Amino acid sequence: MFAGTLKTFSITSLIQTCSSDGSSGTIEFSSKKVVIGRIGFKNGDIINANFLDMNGVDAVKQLALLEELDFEFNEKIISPEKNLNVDINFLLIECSRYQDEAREYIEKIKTLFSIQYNIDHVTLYEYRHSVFISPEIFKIRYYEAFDEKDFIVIYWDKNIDARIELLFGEQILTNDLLMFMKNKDIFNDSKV
Amino acid sequence: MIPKFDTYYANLHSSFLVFDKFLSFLKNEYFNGFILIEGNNKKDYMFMFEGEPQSCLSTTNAGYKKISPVEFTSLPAKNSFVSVCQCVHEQVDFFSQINTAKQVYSIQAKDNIDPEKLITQCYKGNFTGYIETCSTIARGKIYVYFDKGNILGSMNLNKKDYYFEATPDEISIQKKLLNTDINLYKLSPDVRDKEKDLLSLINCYEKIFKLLEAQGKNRDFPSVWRKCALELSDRFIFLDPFAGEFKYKNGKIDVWEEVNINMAIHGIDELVHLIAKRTAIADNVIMTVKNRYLNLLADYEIRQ
Repeated sequence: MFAGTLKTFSITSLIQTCSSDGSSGTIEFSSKKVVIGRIGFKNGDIINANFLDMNGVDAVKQLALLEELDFEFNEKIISPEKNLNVDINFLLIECSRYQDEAREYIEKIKTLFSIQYNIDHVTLYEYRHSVFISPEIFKIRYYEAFDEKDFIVIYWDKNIDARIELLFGEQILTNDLLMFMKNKDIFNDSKV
Repeated sequence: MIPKFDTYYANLHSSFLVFDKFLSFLKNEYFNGFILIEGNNKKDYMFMFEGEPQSCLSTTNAGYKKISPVEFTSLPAKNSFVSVCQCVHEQVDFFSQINTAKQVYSIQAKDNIDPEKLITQCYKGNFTGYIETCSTIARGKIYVYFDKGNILGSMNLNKKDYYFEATPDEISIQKKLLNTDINLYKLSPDVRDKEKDLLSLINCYEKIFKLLEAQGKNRDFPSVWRKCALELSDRFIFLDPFAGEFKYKNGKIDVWEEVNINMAIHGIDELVHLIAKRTAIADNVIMTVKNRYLNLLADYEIRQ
């Protein structure tokens, strides 16, 4: 059994390690000690994956975008579910391509918002708020969080199929922001 | 109890929201579902279908009470949070009438009722309402909603956030209903007494007509209102002064009984505002009367 955080051990390295070791078991990914994703292996083959409401390749790709999740490999958990039947090398290439695309996209979004707003940072969302971890209400497509000085917006971006976190350096009107985002066509209407 | 559905927009703080603009935004999205405002220990709902407001409900100690759209839109107080949940038309229809639920049946666990038969009876009786089980430690409290004899969905209070399950498994529902106290609630949709409403609203507009007539006493009032009515008759046919479907004489309004009440009220409302405009009478003269009928007018979507 091994454990760590995705900050120090990337998901691609994790998958490679389990594959080359011929491992059987499940890597569980958790945020604030709540398990929100799993990747299952049998004799080194990746056989299933899920992350919140996503399964298969989509789930692995979402996990590949995150760095703040904790992980733990548990060889005692072997789920019979089979929702992945792809070559591991193909999956790793897909994950790397998606990571690159997402990083590039984040830069675009930063530029897009900074035209109109004083925006402090734009990042891929790391699932820190418990509301997103609750198994039944993860379809939220726009969420606001506030503290004394920060105005945070988390939304599902349809172009990259991922949640993005925006931190504004000023307090802004929700209506204006929603209209701006709708006009820029970054909301997802169907998948979330 | 109204469950949670897929949340479109969550945790919007009232301080950063211009509520009227937000309603227009949802209208343009042809939104189906409800807006929920939470704060000050209560919850208020506005149900919408294709972006159009349906009914509004507010939580009370006794359950839900109906409130007017005007009351709802003036609600978001400081430090309240707004969420927008999406649901389909049947669900909007059902939950927007949940305030009309009345307990019609109570079954004790000791009665050993067969859950399968109970559900079949609900199917056969085209039942619209819900079954509520009493809370047990093992199973918690569950609700099974029926719409015209079909299971609409269920909700388990034990589960976090009271999420609505649209496709519950009937066998598992039967298991949950077994050996527990059950209450049956039936929805009694609010059927408006439209005749009574029309009388009250006509009374309101008669008062306005009288005021306008009194304020513009140097003018030939019958000729003024007829001209205005003719002007509006392309949209409100009943106002055509030559058709005889609408009359005003000696302080009394007479509308042909076949005219649809919504059409009549909206037409007469536009007419009094046009008369005021043509005779240079301030709108607040009209408002002095309308303010006394705000809730009823709001029910017919008259807001100004």
